Amino acid sequence: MSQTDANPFPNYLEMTPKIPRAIWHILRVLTLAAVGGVIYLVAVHPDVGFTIFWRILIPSLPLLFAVAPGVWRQICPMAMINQIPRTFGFSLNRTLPLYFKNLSYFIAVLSFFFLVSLRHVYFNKEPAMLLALVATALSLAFIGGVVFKGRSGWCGTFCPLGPIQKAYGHAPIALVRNGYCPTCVGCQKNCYDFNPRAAFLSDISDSDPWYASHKKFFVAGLPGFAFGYFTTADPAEIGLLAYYGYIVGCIVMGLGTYMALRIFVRMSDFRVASLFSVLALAIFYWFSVPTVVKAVSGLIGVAPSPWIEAVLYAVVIGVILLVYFNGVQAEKAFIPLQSGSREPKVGVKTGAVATDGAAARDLVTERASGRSFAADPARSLLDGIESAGLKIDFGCRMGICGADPVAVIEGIDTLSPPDNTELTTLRRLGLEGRARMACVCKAPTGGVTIDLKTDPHSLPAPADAPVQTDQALALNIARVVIIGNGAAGIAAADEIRRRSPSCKIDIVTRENHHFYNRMGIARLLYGSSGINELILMQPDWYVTKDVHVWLNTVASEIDRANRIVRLGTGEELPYDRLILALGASAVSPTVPGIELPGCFALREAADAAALRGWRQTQKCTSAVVLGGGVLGIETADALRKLNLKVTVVQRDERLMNRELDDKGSAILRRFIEGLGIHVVTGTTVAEIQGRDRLERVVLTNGDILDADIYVACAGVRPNVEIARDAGLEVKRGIVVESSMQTSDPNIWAIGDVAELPGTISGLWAVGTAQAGVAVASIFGDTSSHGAPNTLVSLKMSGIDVKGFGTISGDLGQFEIVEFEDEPGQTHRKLVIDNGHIRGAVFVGPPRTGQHIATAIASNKDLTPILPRLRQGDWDALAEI
Amino acid sequence: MGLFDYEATVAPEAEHGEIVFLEDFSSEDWSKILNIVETRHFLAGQDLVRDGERDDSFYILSSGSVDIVVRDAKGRESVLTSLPEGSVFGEISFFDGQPRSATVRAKVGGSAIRISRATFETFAAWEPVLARRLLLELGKVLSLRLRWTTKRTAR
Repeated sequence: MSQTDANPFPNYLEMTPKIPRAIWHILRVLTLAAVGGVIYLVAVHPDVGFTIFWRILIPSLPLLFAVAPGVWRQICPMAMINQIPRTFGFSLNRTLPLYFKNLSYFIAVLSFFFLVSLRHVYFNKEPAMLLALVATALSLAFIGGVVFKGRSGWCGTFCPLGPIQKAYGHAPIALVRNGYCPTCVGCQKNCYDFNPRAAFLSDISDSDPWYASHKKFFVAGLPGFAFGYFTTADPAEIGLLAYYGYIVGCIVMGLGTYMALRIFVRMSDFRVASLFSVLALAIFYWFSVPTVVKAVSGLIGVAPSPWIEAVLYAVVIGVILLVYFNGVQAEKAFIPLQSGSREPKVGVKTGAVATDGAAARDLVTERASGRSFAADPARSLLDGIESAGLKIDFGCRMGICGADPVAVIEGIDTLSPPDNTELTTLRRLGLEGRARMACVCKAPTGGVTIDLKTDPHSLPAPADAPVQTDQALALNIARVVIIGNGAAGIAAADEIRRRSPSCKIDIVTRENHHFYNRMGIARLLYGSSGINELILMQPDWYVTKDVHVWLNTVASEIDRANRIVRLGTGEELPYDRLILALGASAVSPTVPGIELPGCFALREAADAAALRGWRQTQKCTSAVVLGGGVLGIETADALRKLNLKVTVVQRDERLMNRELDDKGSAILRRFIEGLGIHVVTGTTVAEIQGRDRLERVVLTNGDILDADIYVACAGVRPNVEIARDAGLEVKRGIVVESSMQTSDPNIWAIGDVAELPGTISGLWAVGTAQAGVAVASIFGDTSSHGAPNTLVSLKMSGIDVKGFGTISGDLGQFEIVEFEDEPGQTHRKLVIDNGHIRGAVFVGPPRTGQHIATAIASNKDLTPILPRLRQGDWDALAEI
Repeated sequence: MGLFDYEATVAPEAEHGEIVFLEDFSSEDWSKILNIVETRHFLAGQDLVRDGERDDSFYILSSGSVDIVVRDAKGRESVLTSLPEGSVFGEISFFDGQPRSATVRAKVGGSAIRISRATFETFAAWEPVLARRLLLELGKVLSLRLRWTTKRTAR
């Protein structure tokens, strides 16, 4: 007998055998001999035989079943006979068919009720019938052993004594190891010999209600049956019909009581079943104790002591209480173990996802949402905000465009100081000293509270701006007209107002929207807030700055002689100074079929809106994007988010060929293809085909791509028409001097439309810097500074791509520091000229290229850290 | 292991008798995920997920613990269950993109990593092999919980 303390439900393999096998063998032989003796007595001296069998041996069994059922299951003569074929190796070892697995218990239960009820009719009085019963039982047990494997031929299935053992022994006081099965062959469900403590519990709580009901039916009927058996009149006197009527009636009453308890009392199925089992035990011994005492005293010829019965009753009551208590305990232990009773908890290994464990003081908190992220000297607020899952608009990620200001409520002094670019942007937004541009600002320590809402009215008033003299008055400049409301035009207006409160400023724009983040137009394709999330200036900016914007208005003619801009609406705008910030238009290669509906060029918000409209009215499943530059890739990514099958067609062999080298381009391509975007390089569009609308795109390499949308992102052409008509000197763009002045001394050109040798056009930062130079020049300030170092970055989530300056061609005179720290993951390259960065490439996972951007923007001498860079220590860049 | 499972036929029991998510991921594999995912820091009482909210992400609790809170027809809240550190939750909306079916409220402050559909797409583009394993494992979590629900409904 054994029991593991830790495990309330040890299976027989987990129990240590305490009684040697030899002893069990001897006990089995003795039991068999005893059976032989009883058979002999019943046959020869029926009175003695019946007394010993029915009034002493059989009444002892229930108590044994309740205390240590395993003992009986080890020495039961039927079990021994049943296991002979297995022991001697002539069992057929068949698996019990499924219908028997389900039905055998029912058969056993009915046989039990039927055979026990026949005691009054035959077995209690007719020796031949009892002998036949014993012989039949032993034979069937043997046959079961020959045919079926394990103990499934009898003990656990058909044996009529099986259910009663499970019922009385549902919470055994002592466990005995099953000695018949050297290995478990898994022959039956919820095997009582495999796990005696859990078998009955598992039966009652089985998920198959039909299966569980069999078990419940038996225990529910048992007390009524016992009561009926002991209180019935002799069937010989009342007749079989009345006898069975009474027995069945008692069973039904028991069943009814069981159901009533289940319905009205909040008790688990198992509790009720347990209660009924011990109730049956109590009824049995209530009637059997006097019989046993009488039988024993009669056999040995001694008058019973009046105490004997009392002692026996006390023992029975003790056992009953112990069994019930055991059952309650077992159920408590069982519920949590029961498969499926508790939601399966799924977790990662301890420490697998451990984050840096930032304490509250190391956090930056967003006021409105209450969400926080860890302060990090190497990471921008924008990265932190995005990592916290907060929604924020973004644009250039360089502090120039002004898409992502955050108000700083607390801890503004602990933040990294703003550079000139950021200050300019903050000034333009009217947020200086109260907010920061999230994309370039870093929080080295925590305790910072920010707010993503930056309405200037809800923020504390800015520090008083220094009183300025009105520079325009001195120069007699009363009216400035700006054509174009892009980054350059708006920056110019802002700078003019800064120098002159009185000067009249008019901005004329073809577009129907106020100044917006053009870099984000791809978001118009898949977002839902339209142009609103791209608008960069608060509506009242135009009011407080007294800037008049002519939206949706075409400037049709410049009358240089009279200094008048004529508008398409018929109005005229006289000017003292004119700034042309006309921008550029998308170029769509003129191939056959380009006029078909479904072909687009993407440059302005209106283009994006038209494309979005087309996609919604047509059944679109695939798209072709011409151009593998920044805009092309961003557009392809936007179309991908609309679940379109997208192909990017790039004339060059590399994506972003102007900004990236071979290695960087290869990483970018693999990433994009990993997202499901198809990329073809070294070819371009030859023809667009379709009947009423775009259907196919034919490439110069012969490939034919099915397409519902075609977008050209293949470069731009400066909008020079009005300048050329006005007689200004125009080449590809409007020719300007370093002061951005055109061939007309009253006209300046800035941004994409200006042609200044040695300047890369198409960049936001270049345009705003040129605005500063031009306005300075207008006001006679020649201390103009050129464009800052500006890199090109891909605005695409999931990858960080940056390119700057000279990265290909003849680099012989420069030092090239290159590093690929994880093959195919990150590629870094710096082209260094006398310690200064001349060119750079960065391609890597998101938020990893910040150091390079900062180093390029600061344009500091890298000589002190060059040895470390050469060894691949790129963190050194952060220390510059 | 069930009470009636024969020892040799079942897998060794997981830590705390629970299912370990992505057990075979090495710390390098984990760091590749951690490089890309979002981290949410939260204080006790804050909601990580709100009932009815649209959000296609699932979470792994790095530290702290959370309650799963459900709301009955009258709007009364009750705690369905609590999840300890390391738990995975929110995978249903990750797969079907439908609104959240329960609120997840922090019981003890801590942090959680959040993997949205878009983040997963990114991860898959960088690490297709790891992403495939992650997805299958997440499918396993879903199946496991579905089985449990099926079983409970059958009961």
